[in-house]
Amino acid sequence: MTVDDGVAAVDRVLRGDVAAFAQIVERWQDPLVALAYRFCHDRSRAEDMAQEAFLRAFRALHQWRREAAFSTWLFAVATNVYRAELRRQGAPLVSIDEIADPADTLDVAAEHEDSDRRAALRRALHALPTKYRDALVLFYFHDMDVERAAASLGVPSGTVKARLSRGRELLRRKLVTMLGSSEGPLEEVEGEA
Amino acid sequence: MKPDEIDRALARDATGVRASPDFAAAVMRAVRREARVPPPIPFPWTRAAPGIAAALLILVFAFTSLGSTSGAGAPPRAPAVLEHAAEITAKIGNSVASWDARSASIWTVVVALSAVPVLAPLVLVRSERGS
Repeated sequence: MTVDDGVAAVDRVLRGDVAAFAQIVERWQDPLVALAYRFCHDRSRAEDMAQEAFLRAFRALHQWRREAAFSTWLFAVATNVYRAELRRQGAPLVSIDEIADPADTLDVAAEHEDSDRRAALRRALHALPTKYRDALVLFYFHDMDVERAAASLGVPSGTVKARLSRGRELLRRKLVTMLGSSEGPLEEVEGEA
Repeated sequence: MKPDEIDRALARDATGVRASPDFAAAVMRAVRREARVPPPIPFPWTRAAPGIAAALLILVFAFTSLGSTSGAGAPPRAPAVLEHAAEITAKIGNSVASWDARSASIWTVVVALSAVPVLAPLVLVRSERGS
């Protein structure tokens, strides 16, 4: 689906063709579920959250002003839903069992070797104040694109840069505490901001 | 854990997560359910505004006239208003106590006429939707 196709699908939905929304769902289901997973680290909960995001988008489709790309608007809607959901149900508990990364192509031994660190990283990330956690989650989700992260959060990019810088510093300190002295001193973070 | 490791780990996080095969179908079922539910009828502020404004004017006029009847040597305004309100309440109480068919019908007409400016727009909107 091209950008124009997306707009065409939106137009059809707005004219009353509910079935046309299926094209939007097909196109954006994976990114929205992946973004939800970054917030909650629970596959089934991620799908529930993504479904709620699609429903919210369906209800609010007429509010898309077309000044920004449809994807920008959709991610902003989804981000609001996910943040509200986490506020309502609390931050996820990232257990040691939650260590397997679905994208891993490493062998099992290497995965286990790395697992504690990734689990610690996720715990540290979710222990951050929400404004820093959200900025970090969206920044990495959008392939380290500050502008897109800012659009999803609905804040200026300067704010995102400041939150990224502060969030990384807090994350680094939490990881030092969690991983202990065996990790050795961490290098200074070169902030994106 | 070095900063570039953190970058890599966070960038890679959830990159392999995909929606399950029946996810889109489940979403569309929910969307169709949502589409079947009629949207809530918004309050017709534009049509109700004249009625509300008229009601407010009547209220202001009533309080103003109550205040002005208290005379030049009257006590401060608020107590006078309260005093008149008490008088009106007493009169209402008396009239309720001595209601006959005529006073009851007058009260009914007054209440019905007061409700017209507010209820009429709602009825109009409903009838337009129904037709």
